[in-house]
Amino acid sequence: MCGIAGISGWQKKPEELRAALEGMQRALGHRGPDDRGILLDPKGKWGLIHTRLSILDLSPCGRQPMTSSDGKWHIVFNGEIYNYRDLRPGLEKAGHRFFSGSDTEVLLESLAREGMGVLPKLRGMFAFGLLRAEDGQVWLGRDLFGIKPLYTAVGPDGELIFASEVRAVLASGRVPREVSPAGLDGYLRTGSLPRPFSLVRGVFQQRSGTWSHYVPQAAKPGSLLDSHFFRKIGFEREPTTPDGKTMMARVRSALEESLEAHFVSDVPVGLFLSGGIDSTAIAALAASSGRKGMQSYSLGFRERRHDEAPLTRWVARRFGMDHHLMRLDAENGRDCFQGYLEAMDQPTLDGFNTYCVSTLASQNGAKVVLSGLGGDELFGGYRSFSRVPELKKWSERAGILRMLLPVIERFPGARVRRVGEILGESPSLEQEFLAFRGNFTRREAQSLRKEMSRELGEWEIRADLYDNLGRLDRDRFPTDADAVGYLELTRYMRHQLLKDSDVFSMSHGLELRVPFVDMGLFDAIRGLPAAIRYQTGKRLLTSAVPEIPDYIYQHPKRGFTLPVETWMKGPWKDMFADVHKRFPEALLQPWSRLWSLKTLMHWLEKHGFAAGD
Amino acid sequence: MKTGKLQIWVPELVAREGGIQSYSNEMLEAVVEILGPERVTVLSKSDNQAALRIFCGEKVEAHSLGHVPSGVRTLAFSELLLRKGLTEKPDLILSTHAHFSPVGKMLGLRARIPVAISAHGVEVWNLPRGRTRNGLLATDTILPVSEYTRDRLMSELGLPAERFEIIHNTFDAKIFSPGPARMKLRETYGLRPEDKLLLCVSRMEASEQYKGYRQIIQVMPSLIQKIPGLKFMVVGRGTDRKNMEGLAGRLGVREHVIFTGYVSSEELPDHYRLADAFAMPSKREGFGIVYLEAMGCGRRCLGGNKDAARDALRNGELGVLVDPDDLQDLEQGVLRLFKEPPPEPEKLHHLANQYFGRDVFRTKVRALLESFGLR
Repeated sequence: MCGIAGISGWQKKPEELRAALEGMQRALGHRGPDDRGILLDPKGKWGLIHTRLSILDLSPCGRQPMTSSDGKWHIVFNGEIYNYRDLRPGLEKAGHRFFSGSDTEVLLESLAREGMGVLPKLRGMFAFGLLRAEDGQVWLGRDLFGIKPLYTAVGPDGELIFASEVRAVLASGRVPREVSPAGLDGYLRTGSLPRPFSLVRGVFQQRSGTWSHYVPQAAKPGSLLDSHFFRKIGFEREPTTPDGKTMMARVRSALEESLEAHFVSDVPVGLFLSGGIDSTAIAALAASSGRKGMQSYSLGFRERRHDEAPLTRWVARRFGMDHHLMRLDAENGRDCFQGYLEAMDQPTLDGFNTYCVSTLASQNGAKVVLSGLGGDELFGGYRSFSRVPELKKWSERAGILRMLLPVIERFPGARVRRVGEILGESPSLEQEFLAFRGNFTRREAQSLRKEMSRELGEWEIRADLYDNLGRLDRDRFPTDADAVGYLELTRYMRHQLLKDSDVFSMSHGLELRVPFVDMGLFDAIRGLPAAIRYQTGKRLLTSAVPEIPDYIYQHPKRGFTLPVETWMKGPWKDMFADVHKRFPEALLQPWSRLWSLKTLMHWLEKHGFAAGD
Repeated sequence: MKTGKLQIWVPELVAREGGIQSYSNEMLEAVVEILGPERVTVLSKSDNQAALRIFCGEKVEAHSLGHVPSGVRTLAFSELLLRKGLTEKPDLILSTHAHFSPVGKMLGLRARIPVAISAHGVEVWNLPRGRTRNGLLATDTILPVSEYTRDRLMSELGLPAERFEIIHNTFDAKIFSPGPARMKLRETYGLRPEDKLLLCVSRMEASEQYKGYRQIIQVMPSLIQKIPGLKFMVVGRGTDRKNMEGLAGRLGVREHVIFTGYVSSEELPDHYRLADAFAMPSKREGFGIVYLEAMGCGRRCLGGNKDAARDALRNGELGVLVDPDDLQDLEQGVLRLFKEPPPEPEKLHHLANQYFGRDVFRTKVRALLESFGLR
């Protein structure tokens, strides 16, 4: 819903604190065009800022930073607590008199009274900074799935800096512009910034599903990584299979409930329609709940392979929506690409589609849109669910092929090198998942890091920084498919899809909501066996929403893909000339690698990082 | 941000008058207003090129093949549509007649150009297997002018409702407005002040036996008994006039039936105003713009309940619907028109405008263009 940031434990002059906060606020301006708030400690030790996109309680009562009724707590909060109306009566009974109709006040008072214990009860997406006025202690929290971003850093005087976006942390002027070698490695390997890193040394992501506590006097950079889970994502270890009807009814009502929750808004809610099963399911559920005249938004292309415009048009009509389409071609796509580069908070190889369709929605005055994001992760829409376990089996049996490894790893073809990567590691689902989803191989990433920065120490180039991240606790997952589901939810969706969706929608002052990424829905299906959850063609979902027209699931799955590959080889070639010039061609195939290096170079240059020599 | 180009294909805009032509005019005006003249190209099959240029204005690119001999015109026009489609690659082709659908299909398949085709009435009902039918099946969006036509096409072509976007016919509420008729017209037709006038505006083709004026003439003897001074006027020309004069004579109501023959569009509103009520119990109307014009002039209408008159009269909300094959029902319907207190002309005009006025038409067209990415 907004942009948030704060600093606590400030040791310099109060005026400088204000200047730093104002810089951060400017950097977050796009996230909240409706209002701006700043709250400064009279002693100049801390300050909070907020940029507001008004969605619930449009009146000034919903302003932030907000102070608790006892005056002891201040909060800045980004997101939506969809069940805030259910939490209100409890607080009223406990004696609180509400002055606003906003979810912020509910969150603030709940936290002030019950502490972090309230977090598992919250349905929605959130990132917040809660500050105790008397001593500047800060509690930070982020939702279970990681829908809303939150970054932290510790400044040179031990002060805590946090913000919704990395560029806002940078705008504080308290973090040196140095590339994080581990972040860079993670980015090259995966195409997004994996937790806990950002691309900036010392700037970290708040872990999803956790809260952390910061005491001004005791701050060290590492202390930010100590966080406490309020909940973890996991599946039932001993799943049960209810009879078909009960199961369908349960899934259906969970879907309806989630959707109902995601409609909580004081402004109209629109929909991104992709022509796939997930967004169509949302359209169908919205229509069956009696909603008519919703605005829907889609992208169309002249390239036949990618164009799903007719499907989206038909779906919109079938469910009584007011449909808007943006026909994207190489020509108008150029402008969009420039805008996309500027809107980026961190480099990424994805999110262009979200950027474009958000442009369309915001041109039509939308402030809130729903998206089908998460349907593939929950209901097994990706090939990874079958492919990754297959790859693991294959790798386990590869035995003698491993002897060819030194040859394979130096092979010119990217695909073969990918095989080399699989062979080079001990077989595990994490490795195979990385091979399936990944961008550059370990060896390629190393050579790129070497090429890009001479400042990095020898170790920082050589080490497998990304691989050192946590391994799966296999005992938590009854089957391989469950483990892949977990990886999809906590890696690809969390670090790539959700982050891009947040940044590229918020860059238009647009809130993107994801009804499939919902605690209630997740709880309704996490107890089912993977074989049922991840049926081919997302059968669990399509049977729970029989209103989905057959032409949608008879249609080959294409996702929300773009014809950019074709454009990058032709009319867009000039925009990528710098990347072609700098890096060996062998590393620039397929197109996603070229794209990811382009966004990386642009980002480094724009934010004044030495992009190498 | 303005984006997208549109091609509009029409049978003709200037040459003749009629439902499809008037719809094509309205459509052209609407898209030019919404997109601006520079982004619209008109391809007309039968207009005179010079007349079309004048009609469309200088800024709209317009081509027509009125000069090509009619025997080869269809072929030549298809070639023009294909050529222009492939070279211009518009973001949407809007064809106001289903006969061009085969070319639309080719362009859709070859160049991925989305096509929307209007469907009026008889020209798309009961389509035999063949190119037009296949063309329509391949069309992105069919634009029926009525729910009635939509429902028929849904069942005949086996397409789901979302393949259709209904855009009702519209009318010019400035021209068709309530008011007194010119006295001269009453004198011309020999109407006395105490006479009651029932009006029908229709082509009179002997080959098309569905407009329903015959049935009205058949019940005239009985109606005259109940409504003294009732006169029935049929505006329109055609081969059926002789037969109808004969029929009226045989029934002894010749004095009570007036055939005006052709009436120019300038004189038409006054004919509606002259009447006390309007009736066309047709059986095969694709929409029936005449109902809108009559209501625009504040006159209550009677229509058949078996065709799209149901749309125009909003299932009886705006007028009387009768079974056109049931003479008794028809007679009762006409009696209702005269016995029930007449609606306030201004109110009826307002309602017709509210449901079918140009603003509604344009809003629909705008939404259609939006859904194809034209803004």
